[in-house]
Amino acid sequence: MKLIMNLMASILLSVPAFIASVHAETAVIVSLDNKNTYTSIDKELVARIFLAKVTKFPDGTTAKPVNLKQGHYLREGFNRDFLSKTESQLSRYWSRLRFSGKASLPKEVNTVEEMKLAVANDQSLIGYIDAMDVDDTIKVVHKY
Amino acid sequence: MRIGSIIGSVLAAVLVTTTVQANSGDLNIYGFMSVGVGILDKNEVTIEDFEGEGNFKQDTVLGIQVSKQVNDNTTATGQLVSRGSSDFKTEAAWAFISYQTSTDLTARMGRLRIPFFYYSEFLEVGYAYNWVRLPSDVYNIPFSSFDGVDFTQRFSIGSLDNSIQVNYGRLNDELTIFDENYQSDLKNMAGISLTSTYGDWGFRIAGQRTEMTLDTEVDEAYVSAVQVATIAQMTHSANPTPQSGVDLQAAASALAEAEVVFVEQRRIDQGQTGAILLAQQMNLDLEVQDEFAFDGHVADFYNAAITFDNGNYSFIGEVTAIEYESGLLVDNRAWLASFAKRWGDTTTHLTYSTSRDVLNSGDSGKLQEALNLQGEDKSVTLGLRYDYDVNTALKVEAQYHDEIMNRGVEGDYAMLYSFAVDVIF
Repeated sequence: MKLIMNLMASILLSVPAFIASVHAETAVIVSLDNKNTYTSIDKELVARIFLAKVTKFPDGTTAKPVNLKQGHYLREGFNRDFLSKTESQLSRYWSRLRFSGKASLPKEVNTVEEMKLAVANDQSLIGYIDAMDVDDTIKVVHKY
Repeated sequence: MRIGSIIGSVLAAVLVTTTVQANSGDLNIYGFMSVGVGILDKNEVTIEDFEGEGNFKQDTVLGIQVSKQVNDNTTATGQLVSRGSSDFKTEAAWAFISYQTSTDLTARMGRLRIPFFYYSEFLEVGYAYNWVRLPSDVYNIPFSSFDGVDFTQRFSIGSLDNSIQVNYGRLNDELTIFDENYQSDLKNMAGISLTSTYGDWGFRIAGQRTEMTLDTEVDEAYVSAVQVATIAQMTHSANPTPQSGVDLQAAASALAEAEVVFVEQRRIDQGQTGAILLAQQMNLDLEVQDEFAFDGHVADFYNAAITFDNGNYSFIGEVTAIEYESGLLVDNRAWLASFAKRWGDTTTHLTYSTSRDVLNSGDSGKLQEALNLQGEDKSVTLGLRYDYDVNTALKVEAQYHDEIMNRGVEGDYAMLYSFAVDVIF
């Protein structure tokens, strides 16, 4: 019995670590007050919001992206998996918009904690964190 | 002690205020800068404004952009650009206040860029494209900003994201055409453009129209000197008398004097004067004085572009057409196609671009041909961009440029080798 318990515990502990080592799952998050649901927001829409092509959630309310700061490991993964761009390519993308006065860079935060706090307090914001850091202060609308 | 503490608290208050102001995060300062060198393999030709040997100044550009979020919906933005190619004369490329409504409509007022073609709104931002400089076969309009308003409405149809931009305004400025300056008044500048993106694809169509007035003039003294000399010569050769000989000599020397003044004039002035004289000589049936002038003459600019970028491969194809109502500038057709492949931080690209002036039909075209106004160019550019870091790009490229025709005469071809460093900050 004790052996089984130990075994289960070690499986439970090692599974998340295993997932993290293969692929840090990214959770796209919004405020609890945000009325949009998991089914309405797909990966493509997340990308369009983060590239300033779309400024609204599916329910018509304003959507503003929040980025983690440059160099954060989650940001690199997010750029690659959701936006199909390297940091340099994104920089070029934004330079076109910024220097033609069309859009300003998304707001940036330094840590996952700051991300959760910012998103929890503003229902127009949409951000991303490590799926393991999800708690009940925010709502997940997409996972990849 | 008391005074000391008062001073102390005042200082503290000042420090706090300064910090608060410096931190009031809404004031953004950004910039872009390019430095480069271009080397032509021939000394006697001018390609992309480069003349032989090493030219370090031509590609140097500095731009500073300051923007301030005034309130939730309103932003003030200014961008100053200084170019080596215009002797570092600093110009406001942008200076506008924008207002964004909740319905995805943005209104901007002030000094704005004219959205002629795909790259027109970020012409000088070398970092934003693969080339050292934009292909001059397509990007060679002598003006790029206007003063007025534009409205941009964004809307999505499924996953197709669109924006329609309309603009209206005017530009009162000095223009450089054929390396010479003209005071211009470009009125009723109006245009519309539609850009759409769908996944990795992008599309753009656009049109602009303006009424061009330039400070060009007919050299009346030269026209009448030519006319007097022509009549004197005809009279003398029909019925030579001592008096007709004297008249002819006087007319010839008056003409020589007038010619000294004429040849010193700017190219479009000469064209306007020459049009009148040539039309008479060639016996053309057209309202030369009205057509070969810049007095509110309409110019139309059309553009269509298609882009693709999946992160590893990218492509742009772009066609442009310019129609001048005035005969003094020749209608133009140009296009470019560019293909790029990314390998990690390195991007290689290959571009073909071509520009062809199209003479008007009938007598108007004959006169344009006689005035040597038309040109034709093509270029092939092979280049490499290396993204050193997220704010810095190093570029090398080789361009084969064939000037098939330049101002009505057969041109030359040359290789232009360029190196540039582009940064944004």
